Amino acid sequence: MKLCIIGNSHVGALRTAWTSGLSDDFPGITITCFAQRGQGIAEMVVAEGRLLPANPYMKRTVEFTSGGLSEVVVAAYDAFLLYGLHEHGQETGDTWYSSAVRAAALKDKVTGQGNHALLVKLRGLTDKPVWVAHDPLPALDPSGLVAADYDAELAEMQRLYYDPLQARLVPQPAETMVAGRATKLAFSKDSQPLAVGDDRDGRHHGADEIQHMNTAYGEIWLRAFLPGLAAPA
Amino acid sequence: MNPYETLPPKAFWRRAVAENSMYDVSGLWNPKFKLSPKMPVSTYGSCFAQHIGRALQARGFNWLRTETAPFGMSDANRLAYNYDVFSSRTGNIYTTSLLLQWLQWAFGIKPVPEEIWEKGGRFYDPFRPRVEPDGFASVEELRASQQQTLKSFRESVTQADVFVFTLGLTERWLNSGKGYEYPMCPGTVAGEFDEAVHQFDNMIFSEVQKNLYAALKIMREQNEKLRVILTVSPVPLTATNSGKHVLVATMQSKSVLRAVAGQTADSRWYVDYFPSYEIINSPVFRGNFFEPNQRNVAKHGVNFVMDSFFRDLNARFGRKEDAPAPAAAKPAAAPAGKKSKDEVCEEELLEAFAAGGRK
Repeated sequence: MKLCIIGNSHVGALRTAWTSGLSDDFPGITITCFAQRGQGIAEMVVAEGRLLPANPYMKRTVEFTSGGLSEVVVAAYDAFLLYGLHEHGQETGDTWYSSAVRAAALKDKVTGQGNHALLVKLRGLTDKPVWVAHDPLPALDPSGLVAADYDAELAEMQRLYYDPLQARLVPQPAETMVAGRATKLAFSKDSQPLAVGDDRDGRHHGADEIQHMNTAYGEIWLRAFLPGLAAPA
Repeated sequence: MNPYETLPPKAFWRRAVAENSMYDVSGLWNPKFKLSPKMPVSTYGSCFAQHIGRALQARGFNWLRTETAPFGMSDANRLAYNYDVFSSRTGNIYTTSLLLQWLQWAFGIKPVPEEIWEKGGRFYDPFRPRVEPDGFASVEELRASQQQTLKSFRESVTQADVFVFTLGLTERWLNSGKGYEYPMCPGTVAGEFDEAVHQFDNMIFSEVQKNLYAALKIMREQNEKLRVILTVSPVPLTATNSGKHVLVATMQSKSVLRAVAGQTADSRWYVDYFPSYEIINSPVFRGNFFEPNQRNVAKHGVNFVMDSFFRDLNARFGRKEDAPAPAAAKPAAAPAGKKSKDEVCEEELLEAFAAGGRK
């Protein structure tokens, strides 16, 4: 099984976990990552059978993260994971919303995201299985967090927006979450920027980092996801 | 020696106006009270009022919004569903009597009327007919939304340090039997017009003033620290039902509102008046801030007004260190020369009823 991961800086935690020994536990799987910090990689350009970098900077980071490949040749992979490029969250207050407002917001939450744009591009090129995953939920102090109905919202997104594109939305592993709206604080400790071949590679985010997760998170995420890879998306 | 000999340059037309480029005419406002970036500011009123909240936010001030959109909602849908337009989803509050009505409902002084409009299986709030572009799915939804907005409106009064209200109209439509006021003539945005029920009224000075004073009384009873900044919308009427030419009706209406606002500010220490109306409408500015239809205020006009607001505020009190300079502020709306697309203005729909329809 040849898995292609396309995504933003959050791919870093998966990639580090995979290259740190996790790959030994999944000998039948090869992973190639095409990633860039920020949301820019959603701008990849569709060409015949391929996704091309949209600019020279993207080309450099894509080449670095993939180990030398400058474009995504769709035929070279069995499945795709679009990771990150999707900020997930749910409102915290007790404000009442009409059904029309909720529906409009849910649509925006999906179709306004970079990974949905990438999914649409990819679906124009292939019918192969595609999985989609949102950015990790922010790492927050669990005290006082109001529980969110995370599973119900993902199910609604799946039914309305990902089923029609034959893609499967992958939830964040339950063991990493708090109250359906945050990641446990331990997973943001010692997180690192996505390595792209510049002077930030190898550094750690600061102690106040809440968006990016560490290698342990990446390992848990992949261990939850990879066994299901053979199942249809 | 006479009193004029000691007056500052701003008191003399030649020195303050005639000898200056219109863009250098400054110091039009001498704020009564300080507005610091941390102070929560609520904004309501006519269409023009929408610019004030956004300008406050763009400059790092604390625009209080007590009814916010769900997480992830796009800017376009926030606008379509009336989030981030005013501090809560009241829609336009054009008149002082509508402001009073909202306050009476929010603080339990009067009950919210039962009236609801239905069309094509969807339900419309007569008091916020465009708050949801396609109406509500059910009566229950509409009622729940009304209650949410009343709660949020209430909070925007009690939690604010400053309440900015832009007076827009004197003309209004009433339910003659029950006495309450609609923001728009029934049958225009939604509902059906019934001449036996729906009554036109054009308030005179004393009525506008009485309603404003009553509104201020309620607000100050609920929040004794509240300060109020009044402005008058410089935007002419889209249409008048007064029988007069719309230009004449506009001047009458704006003159009444301007006089009430000025007199209220002059007689109450906690009320100030900011001259956005003068900045756009004074002959000194030669109509430069209007679009070609001489009605809509162009983006550069809005910017000039808001730049004046913050410049005069800074001149009086100095810039707070934690407030971004205006130059660093994000643009609030559309490109220069274009009418702001992020403006929700129900009254403009009246144009569609002109003979020949909208052009």
